[in-house]
Amino acid sequence: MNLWEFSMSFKDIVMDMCFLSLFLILGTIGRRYGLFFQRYLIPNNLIAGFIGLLAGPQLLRLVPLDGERMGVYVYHLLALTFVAIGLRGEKTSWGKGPLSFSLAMLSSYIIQAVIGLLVCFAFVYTTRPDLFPGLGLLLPMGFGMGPGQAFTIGSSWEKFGFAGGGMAGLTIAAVGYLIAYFAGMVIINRGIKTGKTALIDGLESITQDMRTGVVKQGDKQIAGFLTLSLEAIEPLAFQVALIGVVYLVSYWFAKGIALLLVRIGGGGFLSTVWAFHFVLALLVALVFRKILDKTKKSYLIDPGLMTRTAGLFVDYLIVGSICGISLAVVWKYWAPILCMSVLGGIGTYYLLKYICSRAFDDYHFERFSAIFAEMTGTLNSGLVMIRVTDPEFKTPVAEDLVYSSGIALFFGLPLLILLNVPMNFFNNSRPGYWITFGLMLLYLLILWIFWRLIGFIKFKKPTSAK
Amino acid sequence: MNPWDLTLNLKDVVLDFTYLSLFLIIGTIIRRYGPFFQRYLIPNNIIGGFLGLLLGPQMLRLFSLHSDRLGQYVYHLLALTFIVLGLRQSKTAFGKGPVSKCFIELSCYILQAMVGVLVAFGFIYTIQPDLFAGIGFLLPLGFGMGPGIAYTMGHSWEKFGLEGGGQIGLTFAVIGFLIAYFAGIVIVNRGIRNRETTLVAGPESITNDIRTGVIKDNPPEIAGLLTLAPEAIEPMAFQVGLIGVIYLATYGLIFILTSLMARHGLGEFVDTLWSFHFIIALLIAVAARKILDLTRQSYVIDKGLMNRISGVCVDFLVVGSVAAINITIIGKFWLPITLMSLIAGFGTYHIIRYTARRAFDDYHFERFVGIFGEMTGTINSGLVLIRVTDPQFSSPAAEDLAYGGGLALFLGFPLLILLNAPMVFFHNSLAGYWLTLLIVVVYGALLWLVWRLIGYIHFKPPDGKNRAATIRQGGV
Repeated sequence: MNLWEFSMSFKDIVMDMCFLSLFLILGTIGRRYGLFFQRYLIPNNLIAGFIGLLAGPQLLRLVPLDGERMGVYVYHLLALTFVAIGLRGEKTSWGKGPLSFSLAMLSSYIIQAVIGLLVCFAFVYTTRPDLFPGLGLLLPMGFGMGPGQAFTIGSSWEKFGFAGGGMAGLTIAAVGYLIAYFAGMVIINRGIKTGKTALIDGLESITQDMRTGVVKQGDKQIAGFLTLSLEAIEPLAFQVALIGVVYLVSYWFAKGIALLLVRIGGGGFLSTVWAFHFVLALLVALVFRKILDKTKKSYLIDPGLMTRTAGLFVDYLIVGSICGISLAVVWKYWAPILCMSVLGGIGTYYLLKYICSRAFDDYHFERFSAIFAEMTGTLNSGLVMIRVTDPEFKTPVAEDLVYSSGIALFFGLPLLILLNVPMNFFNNSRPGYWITFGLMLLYLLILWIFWRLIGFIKFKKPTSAK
Repeated sequence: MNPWDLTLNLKDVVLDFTYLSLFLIIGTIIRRYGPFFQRYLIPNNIIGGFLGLLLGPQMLRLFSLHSDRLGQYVYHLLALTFIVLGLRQSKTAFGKGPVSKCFIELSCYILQAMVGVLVAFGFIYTIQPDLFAGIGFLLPLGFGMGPGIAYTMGHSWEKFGLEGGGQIGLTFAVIGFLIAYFAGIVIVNRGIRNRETTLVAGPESITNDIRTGVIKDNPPEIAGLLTLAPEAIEPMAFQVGLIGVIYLATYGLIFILTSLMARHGLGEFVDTLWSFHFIIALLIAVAARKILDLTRQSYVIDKGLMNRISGVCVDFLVVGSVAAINITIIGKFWLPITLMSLIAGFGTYHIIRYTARRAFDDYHFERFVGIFGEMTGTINSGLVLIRVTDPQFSSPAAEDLAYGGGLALFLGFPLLILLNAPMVFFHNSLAGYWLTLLIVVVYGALLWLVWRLIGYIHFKPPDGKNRAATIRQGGV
């Protein structure tokens, strides 16, 4: 299935965006006045997504949304987010903090994939022999990576017989989100009670502005700078147009690869190429950024405005991805998804708890709560947790987390390809899944040996938790 | 028919926007390195638009831009810019400066409409009896108001027999743009040479940053402030979301109104209402802003971020409008369009020059070029021309130009309805056009009467040059 070809009325696009906007504004009001949401710091886009799901055609039928259309928006917004991130020029640092973080993330992806696959095998060999085992491989995408990836890769597997694959991915991502915030806040509350937090003694450190989501008391921060003159062009339009150009080039790039594959007889990989287009988009963006850096033109890119644009894409992506969840698909897969999510959540929790006390020198609890939230939700969920435990970003945790995401992406690429192996190379056969399973464990082993060899992790339990 | 409906492939929409982006970026590069474009301060979006026209399906055929789709984008982007205008709430002042500026603008609209329809009559009564007389009314829309309005109105007149109406509207707007920059800069340079400017400034006083379009020498200015916590929502997403909600309400309101109209036998006005949707969008936005002000919630709206969004809409709107111009249509109507544009350009020049000296107390030349830029291009063109004579914006000319916009919109509304009258109420008959022309002239006379009565204009020519000289010697 090529997600680019999608016939629709232009009116639907405009109306869909308007409805997503409406949900986002309602979500903002929900967060502003809803004490429940404030307690768990649920972001507005998550509230908005569930409002959309409720108001949509599957439940209250107030709003004519369509899951397929939402899917296409998620697909494009995902790539656009990656383009903005690539152009913004994320600094990467290879110190112990970021590197250990990214290895911890990789380990979580693999553990989640292993748990997902094992749960699915349990169903396949007992009650549901017709279950598509690849469902389990969506767990690391939905939990660890994010809704965009989960949907995109999931829908590319529909071709291999995975009915409702994209929707299943979105569902897993939504469950991951809920775990990130609800379990995340419970973990922090318990950490405060047992005195594990290094900086805070209670939750009162969260400012009112952050709790309600509107900046009323504190000083408003600067959104960005105007790097071009308004007489010539709106600086934000320049940033948006730059994203557009990179997207155009990545489309040509993906199309070129697709044409080449067809010519050499690899037509079976087409949907995988189109599913990986966000990776291509990121690569093209990084190359553009490098060229602009080298030619000393990158002063035109304002990191603030790029962050605004990326944030805009992410907010609409998340609202759209939750609105797009198909309850029929949820109903179809509820038992495996539930088992996977519970076991995956617990597995991620213990794995990260084990790692964090051994692979970091300081702020173990802060690091643990942040990476747990990122590995179930997104990077933003992790940053929210850090905001709670370290309100003024005094520790290096937030910085390390942001830096590590770039490295994890780099290490994660082989894994992402690996997750596609059973469908693309083994015709979706069970031995193929077992081979992938073995390869993942091998990859994990290699990563851990590397980790131990560079001395960033010690397997002895440290004597005192800081 | 609901004009919002246009079945297309989402891929084309995505690719269209990436193409427009590409043109905008190339336009930026050309402005950055092209001394010709720097001399006339041609904005990147116009350069980008012409690139699109050149590379598009009508000439080099490198990019498959379809003008139907581009028209849709222009239509929607227009309404979105008006929503931002309403939500941002630009302050309106009622001093002599803004009020007189607004009266001058209305006089320009009226003059342009008169020129347009009289030229059209000239053709109809002689060599081209089948010419659609309403083509003349697209002149004030394209010159005075802007490409979005010209396209939207022209498009809605296609139903009444104006072939390629939307395209003709765009053509007028583009010619207006070219006049604004090329004639505008020439006028400014001549004014400076003749020592008509109050401030001692000249083309050399424009900083390199403005000339090249990239900020390199000076520290960049702040783009806006974060009025919400990024942990909860991206503040930019909130502003965009608010615009989306207003647009949704606009659609809902028009949908209800048109259904009611269709049920009560007013079906023929339905299309006109859909083409006025940007006005309805503006009204709802203003109402929403009022509600937010009264409930003290308007602190969540950041003017800077709103300006950014409206700037993005305008830039893409202009690129799209220029790229959407249909060369076949121009070929068909080139003679009336050229004649109208020439006469209207001269007329606009002289009426503003005449009134600016009589209706303002100070900075006559600065105000004159600002309004001339706006009345042929957009408000942005006016601000650019003021920048040349007054780089620091130390005169009130720029501020008055921005403030007068709201008032002109309000007083221009009856005019906009009037321009639709021949088609909507008189079945496009020549008598209808004559009647409309008469009403337009009466409206103009009334405006001038009010203007004179409130004492903001004097018909005796003041000694403008001396005054400018005195201010200059006084060291402003």
